[in-house]
Amino acid sequence: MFIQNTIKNYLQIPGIDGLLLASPEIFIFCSTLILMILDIFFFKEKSFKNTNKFGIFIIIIAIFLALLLPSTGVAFNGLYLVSELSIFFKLIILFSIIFVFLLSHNKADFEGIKFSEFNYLLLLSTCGMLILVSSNSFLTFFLALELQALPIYVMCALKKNDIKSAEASLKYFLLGALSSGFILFGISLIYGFVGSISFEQVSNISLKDDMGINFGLILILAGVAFKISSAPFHMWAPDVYEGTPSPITFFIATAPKISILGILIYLIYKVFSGIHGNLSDLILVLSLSSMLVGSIGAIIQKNLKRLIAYSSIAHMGFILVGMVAFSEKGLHAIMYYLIIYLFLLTGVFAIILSLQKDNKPIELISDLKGLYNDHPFISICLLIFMFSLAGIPPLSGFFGKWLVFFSAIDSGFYILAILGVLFSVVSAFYYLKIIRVMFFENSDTPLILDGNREIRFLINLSLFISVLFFALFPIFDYMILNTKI
Amino acid sequence: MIEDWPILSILIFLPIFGAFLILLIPNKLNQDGEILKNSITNIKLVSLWTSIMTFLMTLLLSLKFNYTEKQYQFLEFYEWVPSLGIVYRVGLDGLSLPFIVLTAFLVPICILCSWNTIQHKIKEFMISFLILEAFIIGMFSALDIVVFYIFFEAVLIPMFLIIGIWGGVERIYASFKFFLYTLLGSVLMLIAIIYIIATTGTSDLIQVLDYDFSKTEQLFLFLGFFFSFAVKVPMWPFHTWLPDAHVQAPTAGSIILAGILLKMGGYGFLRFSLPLFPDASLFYQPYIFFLSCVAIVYTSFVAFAQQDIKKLIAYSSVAHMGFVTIGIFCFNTQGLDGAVFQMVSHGIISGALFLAIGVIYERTHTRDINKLGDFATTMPKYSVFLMFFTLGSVGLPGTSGFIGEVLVLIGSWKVNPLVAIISGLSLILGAIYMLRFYRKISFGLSENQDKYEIHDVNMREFMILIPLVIFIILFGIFPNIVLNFLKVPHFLILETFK
Repeated sequence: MFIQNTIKNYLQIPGIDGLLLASPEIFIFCSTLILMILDIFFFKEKSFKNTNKFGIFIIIIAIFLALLLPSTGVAFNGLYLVSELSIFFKLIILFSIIFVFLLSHNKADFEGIKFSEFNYLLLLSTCGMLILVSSNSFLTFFLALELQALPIYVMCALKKNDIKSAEASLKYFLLGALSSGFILFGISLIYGFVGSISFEQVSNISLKDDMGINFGLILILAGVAFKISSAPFHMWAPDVYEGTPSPITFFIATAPKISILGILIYLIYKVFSGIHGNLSDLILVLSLSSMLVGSIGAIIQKNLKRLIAYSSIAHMGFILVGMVAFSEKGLHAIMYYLIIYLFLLTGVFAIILSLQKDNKPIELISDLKGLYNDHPFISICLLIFMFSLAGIPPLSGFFGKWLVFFSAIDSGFYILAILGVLFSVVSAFYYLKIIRVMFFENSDTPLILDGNREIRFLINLSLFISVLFFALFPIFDYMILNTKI
Repeated sequence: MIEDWPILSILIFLPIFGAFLILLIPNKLNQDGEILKNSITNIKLVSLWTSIMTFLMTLLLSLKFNYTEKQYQFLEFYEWVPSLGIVYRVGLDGLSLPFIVLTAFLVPICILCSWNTIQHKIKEFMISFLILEAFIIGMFSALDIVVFYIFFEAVLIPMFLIIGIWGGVERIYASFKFFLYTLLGSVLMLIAIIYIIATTGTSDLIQVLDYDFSKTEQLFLFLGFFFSFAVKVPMWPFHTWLPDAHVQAPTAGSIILAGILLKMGGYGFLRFSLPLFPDASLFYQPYIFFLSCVAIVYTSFVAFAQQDIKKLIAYSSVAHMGFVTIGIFCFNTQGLDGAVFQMVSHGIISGALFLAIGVIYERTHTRDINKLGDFATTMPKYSVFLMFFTLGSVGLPGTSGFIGEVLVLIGSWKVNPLVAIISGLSLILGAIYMLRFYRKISFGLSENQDKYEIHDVNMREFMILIPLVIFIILFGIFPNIVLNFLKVPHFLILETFK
C-alpha cells in the first residue's frame, strides 16, 4: 500500500491505478519483448541458457510486483479485476513457471527443445495466464485464454523431427481450438440472453431457468473441461503428455490448468452463483467421470507419462469435488490441493527428467526397474511422491484429499465423497505399481542419474513439502484462510 | 521436572530418531560391493538399542501410571490447525498402555530374530521397522481422531515395504493385497471421521465423546468405522488378505502383523465404535456375533486343512480374534476384559509361534507340515518352547490363552448362551489343529530330515524365546497384571451403555 501511494503521489498520471494493478503482466510482456531483442544481438551461442536465466529473473520480479502491490480493485473500465483470489492464483502460476524454467535449464538439449523460443513462448503464455485469472469480462476471458493457449501449441511442436511430438501438437491444437470455439459460442449465447459481457452485470441479473443461458453455460463448461482435461473431455491428455518433451509436459500439466481453474472458480462462485444449482450437477458429473476415467484408465498404462496423464485426470476429479461443494471450505480445499499437487508433480517430473536409460529419457514404467539398487535416494523420493499422490498419511497428498472430501461432506455430498475415496483406493493401485517396479524388481541395464543442481533443488524442495506438510499446515492455514472470493 | 516433559511424544518419536541415526551410518562398500561388516553390526546395534530403550520407557510409563485415575494420563496438547479444529492430543489410559507395552516388547524381539535372516538391505529393514514402531505407538496414544487416522493409515507404508521387499516368493501379490484391502477399509472410516468433524466442529476425542449422535447417524458412522476395523481384526469374511500377508512376510513382519497390527482393529472398536456409537453397537451386536462365530468355527476347520504351517497359524489368528470381537460386543466387564486380555495374550503367543516357525524355516527352508518332523529328538530344547506356545494357543489353564478365552465365554454366556456354546465348543477345534501341528512337527517322521543340518536353538534364539514363555505363564497365573489397567476404561465404556 505504501509503495502504491508513493508512486501515485509522484506520478500524477490518469489511469495509473489500472497500470499498477496489471503491473506483473505488463512487466512480463515488455521484458519478453526486450529479451527477444537482447537475444538476437547479444546472446549468440548461449542463447537458450541466457534467455532461460533471464526468464527466471523476470518471473521473480513479477512475483515481487504481485506481492508488493497487493492492492485489489477493478481496472480498465471493468475489464480487469485483481482480488485476493486472483493474486493467489497468480503467485502459484508464477511459481510453477519458475519450476518449468528450472526443469528445462540443463535438460533442454537432451530433450531436444533447445530453442530460445521455448523461453519467450513460455513467458508470453504466462502473461496470458495472469490476465486470465484477473479477467472480469468475457472479452478479457477469451482473449487471455487464447494468449495462454497459442504459445503452448507452438511449444508442443518444438521438437520438430519427432513424429510423436508433432502428433501431440496437432492433437492439442485441434482439440484446443475446438474447445475455444465451444467457449466462444457459449459466450455469444450468454451475451445474447443477458445483453452484456461484463462479469459484474452478468452476476447482477437473475438468471433463473433461462434455457439459452443454461445452454451457453454448458458450452463454456465443456470448453473449460477440455482445457483442464476433465473427463469426458480428456481424450487429448494421454497422447499429448506422451508425445511432448517432459519439461513441456510438466508445463501443460500445471500452469494452464491452474489458471483455468482459477477463472472457473470465479465464474462458478461469483458470476453464476445465482444459478449454482444447475451448474453444480454438471460439475458433479465432470468430477465423478474424471475420477472414474482417471483411476480405471491408468491401471493398464505402460508408459510413464500416459500414466501421469490419467493420474492428473483423476486428480482433476478430486479438485472438482471442492468446486461441487460450493462453499468457502471447498475453495480453500482447492487452493491447498493445487499447492500440494504442484509440488508433487514437480518432484515426479524432476525425477523423470534426471533419469536416463541407454542415453534416452525414460519412457516406460518398466524402465524404472531396479531404480532402488542403482539410486536409493531418488527411488525413496519417488516412493514418497507416489504414496503422497495416492493420499496416504502423513504425506501431503493425504491432506489435499482430506480437505476436498471434508468440503464435500460439509456441504452434504455424501455419495460423492464415498465414491471419491473408493476411486482413490483404485488409483492407489497404479501408484503402488510404480513402487513395485522400483523396489521389488531388478534389471540388468543400470539407470543413469544425470541430475544437475536445479533438478536436485526441485526434488529436495518437493520432498520437503510432501514429507513435512503436516508441520507446514498451520502456516498454509494462516495464508489461505484469509483469501475470500 | 520430569513430569513436565512431553514424555509420550518423546516415546513416539524415539524410534524415528533411532531410524534417523541409522540413516547416518555410512554404507561403506568393500571391494566386492558389499556393505562392510562393521557398519552392518552398527546398524543392528543401533536399532536394537533404540527399541530396547523404547521398551524401557514404556515400562517406566506403566510404573508411573495411576490406574485408578479416570482421566487420560501423560496428556499432551498442541494446537495444530485451529481453523479445522484439529489438535495434536496424545495421552494414555489403561486401554492403550498394555498395547503400547506389547508393541515395545515385540519390536526388539523382531529385530533380534531378523539378526541373521535378513541378508540384504538390512539398513532399510531396520529403518522401516523403527518407523513402523513409532507409527503404531502414535496410533495407540492418539486422542484426536485425525491424528489417530494418520497414524492408523501411515502404518501401511512401512508394512507394505517390509512384505514387498523382504518377503517370500509371492510377496508382490501379498503386499498389494494387504495394502489395497486395508486402504479400502480405512477410507470409509475417513468419510465417517470427516462427518464427525463436520457435525461436531472438533476432532478432539474428549470433546467428541460428549456429543450425542442420533440413532441413524450412529448406524451409518458405525459402519464406516466397522469396515476399517473389521479388515484389520480381521473378521470373517474380510480376512482373506491375512493368510497371504502372513505367509509371504518375513518372520519379523509376521510377528508384528499378528502381534500388533491385528490388535489395531480391536483397539479401534473399544476406543471409538463402542463409546461413540453405543446404540449402533447394540443394534449390530447380533450380526457381529454371527460373523465372529463363523470366523471361529470356519477358520478352525480351514486351519486344520493347511499344509503350510505359517498359514495354519494365520488362520488360527482369525479364529482367536473372533473371540476378541465376541468379547468386545458382549458389553459387560468380563467380555471386555476377556477381549483385551485375549488380544494381549494372542499378541505374545502368535508372535512366539511365528518366531518358532521362523527358527525352523531358517534351518530347513520349508514350511510344509508333511516335510517337517522329529524335532523332539533333533531339537529337544526347541520342542519344549514350541510346546509352551502350542498349549498357550490351545488355551490350557495356566497359560495366558486360557484367561482370555474363559473370560470371553463367561461374558458371552450372560448375553447370548448360544454364542458361548458355539465358541466354547470350537475351543476343541483349536486343540485339534494345534495338537496335530505339534505332533507332526515334534514327533512325526519327516520325509527328508537328513537333508538339513539341524542344530538346536542357539543363544540368541534362546534369549528371544525365554521372555515369551515367561510372559505366557506369568499372565496365565497373574492375569491381574493386565486386568488392573482395564478396570477404569472398561467401567467408563460400559457407562455409556446405561
